[in-house]
Amino acid sequence: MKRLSIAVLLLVLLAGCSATDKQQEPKKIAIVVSTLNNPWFVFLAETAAKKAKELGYESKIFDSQNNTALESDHFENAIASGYNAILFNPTDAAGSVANVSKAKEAGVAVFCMDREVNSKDAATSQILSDSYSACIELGKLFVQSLDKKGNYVELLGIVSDNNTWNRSKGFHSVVDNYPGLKMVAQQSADFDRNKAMEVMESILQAHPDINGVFCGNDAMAMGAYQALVAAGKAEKVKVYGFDGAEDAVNSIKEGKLTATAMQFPKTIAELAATYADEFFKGKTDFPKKLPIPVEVVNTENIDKYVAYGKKD
Amino acid sequence: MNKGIKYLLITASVALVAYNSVYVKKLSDVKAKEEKAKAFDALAYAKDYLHNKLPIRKVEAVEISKLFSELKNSPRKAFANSHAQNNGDIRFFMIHGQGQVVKIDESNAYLKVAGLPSDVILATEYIIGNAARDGSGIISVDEFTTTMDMNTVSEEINKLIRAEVLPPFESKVKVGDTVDFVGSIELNQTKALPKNMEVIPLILEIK
Repeated sequence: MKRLSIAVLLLVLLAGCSATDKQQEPKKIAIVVSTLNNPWFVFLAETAAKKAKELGYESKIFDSQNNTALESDHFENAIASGYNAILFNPTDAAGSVANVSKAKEAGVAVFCMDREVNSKDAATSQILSDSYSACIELGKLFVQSLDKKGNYVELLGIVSDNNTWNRSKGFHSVVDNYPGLKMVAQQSADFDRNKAMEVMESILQAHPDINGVFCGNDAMAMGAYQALVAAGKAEKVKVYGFDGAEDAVNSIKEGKLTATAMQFPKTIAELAATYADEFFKGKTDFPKKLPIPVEVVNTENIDKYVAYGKKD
Repeated sequence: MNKGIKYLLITASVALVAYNSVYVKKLSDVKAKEEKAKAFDALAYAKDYLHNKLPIRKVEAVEISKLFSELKNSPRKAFANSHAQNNGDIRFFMIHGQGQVVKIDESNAYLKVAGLPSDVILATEYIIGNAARDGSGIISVDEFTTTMDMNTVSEEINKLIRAEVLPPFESKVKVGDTVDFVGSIELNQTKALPKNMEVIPLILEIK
């Protein structure tokens, strides 16, 4: 009986030690981003990794290559490899919900960065650029710069991403009030520079007389601008982007692009990493959705900004 | 009973039960119906906001000349009572006031309001932006499954103002009328106070 009691006691102690070891294991953070084929997302991912390191956590960046199946694999790997939180930039607002829910069931907290998933509860928190409000401001500037009249083209981002539509809807909520402004073409170029150039070249064949181009991101704006240069129309057409990427900021300085909307990926990424740290320390009360302001940048205020943010 | 009739009756009964037990529908139709039932009704939400929630909360609107004075003398304090879905520079306020119509054009009505150095511009054509949605501070992003839903609400509220608030006002208003108004204004806290306060109307009454 005595031997049995000692054995039970040892077992209990071992179990206790194992649990304590698990609790004391260093926490790991996975950073899953939609694509690393766009400098903006590279900056977002690297800033999140840097902040995680500063806070004392090991982290690893996973590239979903805009592919939900690959994103799903990354989530499974992250869960199986014992990551404790995922800083997540989704590929598909609806399609990514299942991945976030899977992580939640496994006790892994997910903090969305920039892009949202269509759920109030799956993610621990979603830190999102307020694209709609920014595009209202871009829309006002667009109307003013075209003097309320002319033909324009809209290049949309990935159609399954909510940011694509928040940007488009914000812009149209203003521009559609002016009957003198006519949208002659609206096409998706998947947030991709090369695709935008091809799409724009094709649109220019059918609609050579345009005065403005509104693009859902800077990469597409740069692609559209290249197509306009090739067609000899760059001087006449006002091109608008969105993001605040390095080449767009330089382009505004040089008088090529008319305006962009500056998102703050540093704020978003650092906040996501900080939230993960607070979560590990026991905090559970996070805002479900936190819109981060986005600011309009044009030649008038370009001196206040650098790529991906404001001058210090 | 004749065996044939018996089997016929049994077969007919089984066929009747089977016919009423099994329904064949297109999977796409079922899914579409489910999606429709789940879809967020932004128009209904906007109507509830404008017709029910806002009239109850209009007592929280700040008097426009009082706000102007506070913005001039202690802007930090004034902006502390503003609203927006993000913590950026563009902020919204719900205001109320009474003024006399001094001018009407195709885009605005201009009101002389006691305590203000310049006329208030009451928008009657361009009802745009998030002022109508966010000025009151009633609506929170956490209520919505997607930010797209919340942004569609903004558009629906603006459409309702154009369709319901403005037509009865525009058909009667004339220069010299006294107007009671509740509305929203948008201000950028990094920029100088505009000469004329521009109001997106929410509730209008000609006295």
